[in-house]
Amino acid sequence: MIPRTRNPEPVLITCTALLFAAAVYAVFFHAPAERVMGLVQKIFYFHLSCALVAFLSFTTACISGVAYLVSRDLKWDVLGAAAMEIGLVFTTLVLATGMLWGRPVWNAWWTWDPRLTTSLILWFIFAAYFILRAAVKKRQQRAAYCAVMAIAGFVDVPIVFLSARLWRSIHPVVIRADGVNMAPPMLTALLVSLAAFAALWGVLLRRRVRILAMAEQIRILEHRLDREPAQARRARY
Amino acid sequence: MNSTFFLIAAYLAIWAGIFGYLLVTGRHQQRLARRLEMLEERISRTEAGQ
Repeated sequence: MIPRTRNPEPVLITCTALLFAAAVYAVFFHAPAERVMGLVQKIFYFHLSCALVAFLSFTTACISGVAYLVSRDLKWDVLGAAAMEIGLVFTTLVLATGMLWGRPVWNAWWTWDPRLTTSLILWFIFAAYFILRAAVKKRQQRAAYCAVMAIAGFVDVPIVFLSARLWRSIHPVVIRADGVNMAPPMLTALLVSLAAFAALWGVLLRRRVRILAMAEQIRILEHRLDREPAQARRARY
Repeated sequence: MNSTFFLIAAYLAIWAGIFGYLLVTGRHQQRLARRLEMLEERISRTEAGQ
């Protein structure tokens, strides 16, 4: 059963909105414009935050997958599916903002650069997960297949992260072994943006898990309602 | 097209994505909550009738 407690969602959404207001202020008024790229560099703060939140989604889905395979508890499958859906949304935003950044900076909407290619593969893995989910009807079987898919797909996350370091890439590398490669006001803007996106991720994950749990409860109640008239008829005759 | 156009377009894409997803999931959640309430009411009526 879904507990009928006071809904904390409006409070969570308000806190997230405040964090976003702070992030927009930090990006446009606190962080200076980059010397070479100019104003368009300001896409980077939300672009990187979206990417890190997408990685967080895939990590959550991978951990949920392992937890499901160990425990066979369907709540892990629900958590994994919720995380994957949010990950798909944020990976789409990463690709869209990346292209809008690439056009003025590289003079191309898309190049088959290692970072871009591995990110696109990540998007396809997210999308394939939902195709698999829709294709398998048996719940336990679907949960097991999706868990394996989430674990196998997670392999691409470190590859995306390291791609610009391992192979020759034109994609900028900000987080290096020797620290973060940017001026302190830019770093502040990035951290505030990251906090806002992490809060949004929490709100969305909570909502999506709740929706999946409600759908499951509706399925159980509908099944119960379908069964009850038959039982009543049997009792009468 | 200057770089400001791309900056605006990128931020519009992000806001559209976030608000669109929030709207879709919010509506879905409301629809499910109504359905759940209706089913629980029907069950309690059925149980009271028996």
